[in-house]
Amino acid sequence: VSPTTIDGMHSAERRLLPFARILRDQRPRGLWELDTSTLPRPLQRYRRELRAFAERELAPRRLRADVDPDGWDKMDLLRTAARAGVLTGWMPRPIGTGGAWTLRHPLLLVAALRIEELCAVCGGLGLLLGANELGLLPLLIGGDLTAAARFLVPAVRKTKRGEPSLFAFAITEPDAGSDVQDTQGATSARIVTRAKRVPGGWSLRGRKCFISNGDVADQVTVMAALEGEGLESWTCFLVDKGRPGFAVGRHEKKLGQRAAAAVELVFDDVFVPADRVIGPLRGGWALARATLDASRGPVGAIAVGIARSAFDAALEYAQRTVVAGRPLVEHDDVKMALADMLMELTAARACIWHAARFFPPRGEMAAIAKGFGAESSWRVCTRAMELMGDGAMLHANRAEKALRDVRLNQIYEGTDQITRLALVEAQWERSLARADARAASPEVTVMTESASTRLYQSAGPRTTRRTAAGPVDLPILYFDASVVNVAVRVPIGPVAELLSGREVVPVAVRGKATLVLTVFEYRDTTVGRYNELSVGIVARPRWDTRLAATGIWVQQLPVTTELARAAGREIWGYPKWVTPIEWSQDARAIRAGLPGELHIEVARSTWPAPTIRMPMTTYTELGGKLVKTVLRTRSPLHVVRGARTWLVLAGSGQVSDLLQRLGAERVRPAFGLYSERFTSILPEGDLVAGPGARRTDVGSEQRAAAGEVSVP
Amino acid sequence: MNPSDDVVRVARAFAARTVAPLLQAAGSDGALERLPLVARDAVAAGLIADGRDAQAEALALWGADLGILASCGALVELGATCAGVGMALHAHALAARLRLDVSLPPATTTVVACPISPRCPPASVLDDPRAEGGSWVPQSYGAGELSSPFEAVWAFAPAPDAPFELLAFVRGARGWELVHAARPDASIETVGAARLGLRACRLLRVTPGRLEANVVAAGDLARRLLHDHIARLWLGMAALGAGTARAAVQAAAGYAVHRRQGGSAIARHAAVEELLGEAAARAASAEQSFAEDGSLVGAARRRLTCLADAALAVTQSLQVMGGNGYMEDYRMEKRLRDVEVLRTSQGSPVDLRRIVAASLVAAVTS
Repeated sequence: VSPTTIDGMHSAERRLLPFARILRDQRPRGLWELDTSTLPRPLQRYRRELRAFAERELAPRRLRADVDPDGWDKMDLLRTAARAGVLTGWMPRPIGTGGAWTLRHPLLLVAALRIEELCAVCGGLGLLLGANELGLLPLLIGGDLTAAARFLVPAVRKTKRGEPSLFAFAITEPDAGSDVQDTQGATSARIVTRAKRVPGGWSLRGRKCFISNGDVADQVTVMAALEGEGLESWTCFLVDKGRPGFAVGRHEKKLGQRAAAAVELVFDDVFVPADRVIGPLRGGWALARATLDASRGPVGAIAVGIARSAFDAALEYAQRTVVAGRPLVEHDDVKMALADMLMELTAARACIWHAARFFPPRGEMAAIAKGFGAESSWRVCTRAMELMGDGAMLHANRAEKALRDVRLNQIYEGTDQITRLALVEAQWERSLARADARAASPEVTVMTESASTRLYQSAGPRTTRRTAAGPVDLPILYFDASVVNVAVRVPIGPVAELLSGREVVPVAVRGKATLVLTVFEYRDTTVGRYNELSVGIVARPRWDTRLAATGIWVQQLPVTTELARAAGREIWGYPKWVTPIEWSQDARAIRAGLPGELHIEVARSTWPAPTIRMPMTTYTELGGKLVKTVLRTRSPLHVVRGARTWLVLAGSGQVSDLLQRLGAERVRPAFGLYSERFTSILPEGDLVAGPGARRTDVGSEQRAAAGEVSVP
Repeated sequence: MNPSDDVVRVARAFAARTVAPLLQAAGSDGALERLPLVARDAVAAGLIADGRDAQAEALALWGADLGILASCGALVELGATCAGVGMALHAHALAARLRLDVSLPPATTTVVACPISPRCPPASVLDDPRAEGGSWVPQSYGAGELSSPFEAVWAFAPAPDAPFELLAFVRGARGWELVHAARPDASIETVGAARLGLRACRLLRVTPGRLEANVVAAGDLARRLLHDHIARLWLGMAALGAGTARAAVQAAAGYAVHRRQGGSAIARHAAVEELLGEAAARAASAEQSFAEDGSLVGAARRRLTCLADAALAVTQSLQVMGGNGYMEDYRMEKRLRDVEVLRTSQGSPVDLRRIVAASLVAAVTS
């Protein structure tokens, strides 16, 4: 465009009416500034500060750190970053260095801004400074504020003093990479890192590989399976690097992002105190998934940062390289390439910022951000290579470094293929689970009401067990159900007599036993739709007097489908048989029962009723052994006082005869509970033996006998 | 057995016997210090000639008696083992052929400076450097003095430690000229290993400037030599890329069969099947790109598609191997580095597209 034409265009601009000029922002501003201007002011300032830090501290080190990853002083940079507050910006002042106004905004957006600016100078150095946050994520999102306070606060304080105290995240194993990031593959993953219970804590044994910053981290959040159990027992342990038995193994020689080491970690009977278990035992799978959901967005931002460095390198090269008498940047093909790169970069960044604004993080959005960010950034880098031609291959021109660096983003934190599977799983997990249900019971009509969309994800890896009525996926997921329950206090004598010879005894409260009658209307489950009525007795194992051991001994459990009967009897030993079970509800009450035998009714509260959340532990016998099963549910149950509940024994039958024998006929329920939005997860039970005996997974014995089928 | 089959067979055996052991050494690029021995063994095997035997020269890579398909087939075999070594032998053979074409006596190492770097000029300039925009090309002034409108050109060259001679295509009074400089040392600088790929092949930075040089070809002859040289260079690079892709796919397939995930070999997983299938199809397509067509446009077209296919096949193969593919141990990252240099240097895809388009427009116009 000639200067004359440009002058003409400016003249035309000036001739516009004043209001039209207001509507046109003609201020010369780069895309980086334009993007920054869309952010709230604290984040604008934060982004500028990070960019300045990266230019000042990372740029002088980037080429050396890439060529000689073992020969440069990375601790010097870490100390500098620690003093500058870069490593502790996620924690608000006065403990950390994060500004209150900055951290009012979604943490993932703040993290995405930070990591993009660092990686826009060097992907490897950015990873070195950013992997710390991945390591501490399980502590942050584990929900245990005490643990977070005990472990994170001292580390942040130390780091602020200029002595970096870093975390690393260890999930990948030599024979389990993508396996452990994918629900379906996880079932058969070959996990070698195991935790064995020892006095005072746990002993870890095994290996982890490709652990970013494993060489400089003081503490590592390690995912390990419990001894003798599968991946479903995965638990997160916080391992101090000073513990005997902990060692850093080989340093991988990587294609790119070489400034940050990827190392092998070796655990040779490393003792981990019990208070360093992060989250609940066997809760590691959900924690790992949540961690990846939170980290994948920033990984997309790493890719965008690296691609930005490729763009910057290409632009700089095109401006200084003269070909055919003109700088390259004046050639039309070069302009086209630069424009392509800018479009990809802007779209990827917009996608990542969009995903980062979700709180709590959404797995599907994180997968989109990571997948699109990594792939479009790869295209930007290859375009930069084409634009620069022969100059691109030279290390000093930085484009080839960006290409090598960005390739990793299509692999770590879940390969492009895994993130696609994660996206589909997260978005359509209920539909997928329903498809399983339809396959199991084609006659069942599956309802479409919403239940917990996170249920499937939090259930962890799944296995399939054969039963006489067909295969059943475990754990069984209850997406949508209603429950009504009445508790009746009866004389202890007949109940104790009923349980004599069993491994459990009734729990007496003021000299009486408690019967619990519960009716479920399961509208949407992975074993189809069915109803269930439970007659239970509040009991505990004969040898275990702890309150925590109290559960419900299931005495009778009629159900309405053959699959539910077979699964219950064969997997848990529930005393099930098939019979019709009624359920009805209206604005006033919920009613359920066995036709011609018994009737339960609980009136709805006319004002907001108190709710409780309670674990549901059941005891049954399977093959002569006591089985304890903990039903995982967080659904609140409405509490109804006894005066508004009814139990009517209307005739003779297996259940009503039992209740009459136990003295429930003449007693008003003590209280009732109900919920119309009940979701839960029913895992396999544990065999419970006498004091000192080893806990055994029921499934492992049965699997050995019956064979196991992986979920396809 | 015809010479074509013979040279492919020899190249395969040479790669297995001489090149593969180099890669057993530590480091992704293998034992680079042993490269001079490789060049000597290549002469002994007959893949390249040292100028002492005219018959051997004719049957070596890019020899006068060897067709394009034969040379490309041999380079595919070399590329399957190490594209860097293949590129060194390719560069040696191209220079030898050019010397033969202008009847220069044999020399151990000759660098050919071709004005297609850092960016390749448009087709009109390749046809006639006096055309509009001819300032892409270095110029010769009177008594062997060269000048360049750009900083430098990069050229791949064999035999790292030998003294160099230079053959450079420049713009002269009669259009293209090929000039020969016997002592170009001041104009040539070796680029170290701090570069993306093909590290087994020496990369030189040639800075045209005040240089004593003789014109050895001019006018139509020089133009034809230039076109032939570029076409061979591009076809050979494409062949090396095709070989690299073939090896990458084979390595990825082997990995996928042995690596288990979710209770079965990953080769059975749909996502991996998709990657492998795409990679295998692209690699096969790349390998089948060649024909006995030595035209500049044909070479541009073939190199463009062949290396795009090869690069995709390699990156998909790396993806199959996940984190292991990214580490040096499996050498897949070396293939990625090599194929990307083959794809973008000595005429980037942007340049090739413009040359193909110019040819199409010219055909339609005529």
